[in-house]
Amino acid sequence: MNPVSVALAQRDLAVRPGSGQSVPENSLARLRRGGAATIVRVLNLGDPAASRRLFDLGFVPGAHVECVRRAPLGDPAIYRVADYEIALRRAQAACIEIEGAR
Amino acid sequence: MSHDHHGGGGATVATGLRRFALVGSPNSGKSTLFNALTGLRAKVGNYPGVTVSRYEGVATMPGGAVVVEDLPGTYSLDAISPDEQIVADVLHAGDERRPTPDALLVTVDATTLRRSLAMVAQVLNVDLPATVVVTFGDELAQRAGRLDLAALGRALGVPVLGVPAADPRAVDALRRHLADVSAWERPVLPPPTDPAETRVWIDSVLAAADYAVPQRDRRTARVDAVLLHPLWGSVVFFATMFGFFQVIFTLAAPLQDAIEALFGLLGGLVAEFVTVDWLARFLAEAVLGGVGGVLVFLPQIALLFAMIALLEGVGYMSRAAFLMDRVMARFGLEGRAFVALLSAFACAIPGIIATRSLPSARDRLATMLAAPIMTCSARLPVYVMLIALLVPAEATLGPFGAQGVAMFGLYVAGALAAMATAWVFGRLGGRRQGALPFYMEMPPYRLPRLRTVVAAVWDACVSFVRKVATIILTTTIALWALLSFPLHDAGRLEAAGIDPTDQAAVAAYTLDRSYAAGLGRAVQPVFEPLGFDWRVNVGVIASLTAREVFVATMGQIAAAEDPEDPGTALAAMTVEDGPRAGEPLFTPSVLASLLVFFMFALQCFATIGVLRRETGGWRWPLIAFGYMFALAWTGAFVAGRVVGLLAP
Amino acid sequence: MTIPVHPEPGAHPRELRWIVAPDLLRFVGRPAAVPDALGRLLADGRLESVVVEPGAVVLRLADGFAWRAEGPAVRRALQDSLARPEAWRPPSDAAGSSDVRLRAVAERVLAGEVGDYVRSHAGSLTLLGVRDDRVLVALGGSCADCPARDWTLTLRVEAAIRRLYPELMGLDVRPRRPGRPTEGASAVPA
Repeated sequence: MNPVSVALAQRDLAVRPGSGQSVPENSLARLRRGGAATIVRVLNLGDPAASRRLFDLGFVPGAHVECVRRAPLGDPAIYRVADYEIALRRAQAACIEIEGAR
Repeated sequence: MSHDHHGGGGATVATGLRRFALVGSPNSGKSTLFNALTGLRAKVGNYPGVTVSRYEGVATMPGGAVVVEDLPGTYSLDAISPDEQIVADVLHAGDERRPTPDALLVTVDATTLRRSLAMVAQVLNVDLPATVVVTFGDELAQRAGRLDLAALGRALGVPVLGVPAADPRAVDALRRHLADVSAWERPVLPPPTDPAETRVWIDSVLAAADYAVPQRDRRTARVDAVLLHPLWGSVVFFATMFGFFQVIFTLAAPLQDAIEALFGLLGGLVAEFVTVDWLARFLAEAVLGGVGGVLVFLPQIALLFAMIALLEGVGYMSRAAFLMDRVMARFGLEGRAFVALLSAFACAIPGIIATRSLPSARDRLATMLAAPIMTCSARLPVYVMLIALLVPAEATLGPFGAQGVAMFGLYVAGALAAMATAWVFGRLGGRRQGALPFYMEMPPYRLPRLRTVVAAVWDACVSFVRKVATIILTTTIALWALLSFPLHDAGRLEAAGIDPTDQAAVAAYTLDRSYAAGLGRAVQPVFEPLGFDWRVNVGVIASLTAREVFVATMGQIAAAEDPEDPGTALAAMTVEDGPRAGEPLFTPSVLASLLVFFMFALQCFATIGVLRRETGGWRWPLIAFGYMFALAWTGAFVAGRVVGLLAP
Repeated sequence: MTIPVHPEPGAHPRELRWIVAPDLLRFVGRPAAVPDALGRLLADGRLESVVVEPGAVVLRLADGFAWRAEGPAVRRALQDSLARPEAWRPPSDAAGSSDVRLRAVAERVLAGEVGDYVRSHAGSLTLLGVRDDRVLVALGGSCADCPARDWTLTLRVEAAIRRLYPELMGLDVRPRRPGRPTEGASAVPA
C-alpha cells in the first residue's frame, strides 16, 4: 500500500453521525435553487471514506456553497463549491450540514 | 462490435527509458497533454494483476526518448474506486510489480485551482520529483481570473509550468523541462495531510499565488440553462440521442456502399483472374465474403466513436448522466452508468471499461453484466440481415420505414433488457455495503480537441480491423473448410444419384455432408424448439466468436447453394431435415426467434475476455455467458411461439 | 480557527520561510518572546531561531535536524502560536513601529523579484526612506526615460509593497517624473 494513501485514509474529519432524520432541516439538500450557504460539517455517510471524498471534493467546513440547479425531478442537484460545479444526489447533500442559508 | 482495443498485450513500450507519470483529476486536460507529448503513438495494455488498462507512449525530448504514462483521472489518492487504486499503487515506489515512475507531472486545471490543490498536496507527499502543469490558464484569463505561476511554484516548492492545451510552444517548453529531472526543485517539507491543516495550507498558497477566482463561465451557464432545463433539457437530450443514431446509420450508409463496391470489385477480379477453382472459391467465399461482410461496418464504428468522443469532449456526457441519474436510480444505478451503457451501443468493451469510473463495486458489476445486452454494433449486421428477411423494404408504418422501426424497436428492447438485468444483479449483489457517494463534476463546455477525437476513432478502427484480420478471418477460413470438406469422388456422387458435372448439385451435396453439417445436426436437439435447422445452428455456433460471423457464415452457405445470387438463395432456403423438411426455413417465427436470440446471447470472445480481466476471474464471465444464453434461448422460444401465433 | 500558513524555501537549507498573513504579526525582527508552543521547540534545541519578516516567519532548525522529520510538529507549534498573535513580543518597541515594518517590506520588495525585473531592464530602484505609510524611491539607469515606468511602479512595485503592507498610502519617486504631475509624486519634498 502507498503510505500516503494509508495516511490519507486515517484522516479524522471529526464527522458526527447523522441525526437519523431523513433530510435534516439544516442540510445542503434543503438549499433552494439559487440559494447560498456556508458548510458547517459533513455528517457521517455510513462510510468514512465517503465523507473523506466529499472533503477532497471541496465540501469542507467554512466553504461557501451554492445550489446552481436541480435535475428535472429535483434530484440530483448541481452545487457550486470551491469555485467549480459538481452534482450530488439528495442522499449525499442531506449529509452536509450548512448554516446561513439565503 | 466487440474488438479488443484497450485489450491485453501490446504494452510493449521500451523499458529502461525514463518514465514520467501524468497524475490529475478528470477533466484537468491530462489526456490532451498526453496526446500532445506522445502523438498518436500510445500503447494500450493493462496493469499486471489488476484490471485497469494503462496508457503509455514514447515522447521524444531534447535529451532522448522518455516514456509517458497517462494514469486514470482521480480526485484523491485516498482511493475509492479500482482506477483510483491503481494511481495510488503506481505512485508507491516500494511496489515491485509495476515500474515506478521516475517523476510525476501533476495536471491542474487553473479554473478549479482550489479543489485541485487538495490533490496536489497529497501527490507532493509522494517521494518522487514532481512538476505541476497548470492547464486552462487561457480560460482562467478569459474569465477574469488571475494566477501568478512563479509565486505558485515558490509556494509549492516544485516547478510550475503553464501549458494551455493548444499552445505548442508551451508543450515544447515542457519537453525541455523534462530533459533534466535532477534539476527539479523538491519541496523541503511536503504539504500537510491533516484535513484542517490542508485547508489552511490551500488558503495560504492561493493567497501567495495571488489567485483570483475566475468568474462563472457565462457561456456554460447560458447553455446549461437550456440543456439542463427541466423541459427543454429533456427535449434536447432525446433529440441528441436520436441524432446520435441518425448520424451513425445515415451518414455511414454511403461509406458502407463504397466498401461493398470495393469488395464487389475485388470479387470480380478474383472470378476473372483466379483460374484454380477451389482457390477462387476460397478467396471469394472465405476471404472476401467473410472479411468484406464485416469490414462494411467500419464507417459506423468510426462514427460511433467519434460521436462519443465529441459528446465527452464538449462536456455533454456529464450533463446527459445528470439528466438520466434519476431514471438510472430506478434501476439501482447512477448517472455515470448511463454513459457506460451508452458506450455499450458501440461495443460492450468500452462500456465495460467505462464502468471503472463507478466507485461502487456493486454498481460496477451490475453495469458490466448489463452492458453486453445493449445493442452493440456487432449485432447490427445480423439485425440488418434478419430484418431484411422479415420485413419487406417497402413496408411502412406511418411516415417511417417499417425496417427502421423494427431496428429502433430492437434497440429499445435491448436497452430495457439491459436495465432490467442491471437491476436484478444490483439486487442480488446488494448486501447493502456502505453506499459510496454519487458525485459528478460538471466541467465548463469546451471545444473538444480534434486530436483527442481522432485518437479515439483511430484506436477503435485499428482494433476493429485487427479483429477482422485475426478472429473473424480465422473463423471464416475454418468454417469454409468445415463447410467444404470432406470432398467426394465421382463414384460416390454417382452412387448418390448426383451428376459430377453439375457443379451446383455437387456443391449442395458436399455442403449437406460437410463436417459443419454434422456439427450443426449434433446440436440440433438444443435449437430444434426454436425452429433452427443445422445451417442456422452452424451460424450460431460460429458466431460465438463474434456475432458478425453469423452474417459471413450464412453468406457462405447461401453462396455455396447459389453463387450467382446468395441473397435470394438465403431467402428461399428450405428446412432440410425433420418434420418441417421442405418448408421455408426463415419463417417469421424463426426470424423472430433468431432476433431475440442475438439480442441476448453473449456471442463475443472479446467481451468474455474483457469481463474476465475486469472482474479478475472466470466466475463472472461464465455467469454472464450462462444467464445470457438462458435468456436468449427462453426469449427466442417465447418470441417464436408468439410470432407463430400472430403470423402463422 | 487555524491560521493559513505555508512554507517556502529559505536562504539556508535548514531554514523555511512560513508565509503568513502580513497583518498578523505587526513587527519585524527576532521576537523577544514567542508563545509556548514555539518556545518549547526553541528550548529543547530543535529550533535554532525564529525571525519575523514582513508576511513571513523564518524558522531555522538546529544542526542535525531535518524538516521532513520535524516539519509536522513545527507546523503545529507555529499554527498554535500564530493563533495567539498577542503573545508574540517584538524585540523592541521600535520593531513594531510602522516605519520599521514598512522599511523592511520596501527593502524586501526592492531586493526581490520586482527589483530583479527593474534591474533586468537596466534600471535601478533605490530606497530613500519611508514616512507616514509612504515610500520614497529613486529611479536610475534606463528608468529616467522609460515610457513604461509609471506602469511598472504602480503595477509591480507599489502592488508588491501593498501586499505585504496593506496600509501603504503611496509610492513617491525622486527625481520627479517629467511631464504631468502624477498622483503622489510631489507629496514628499525632494
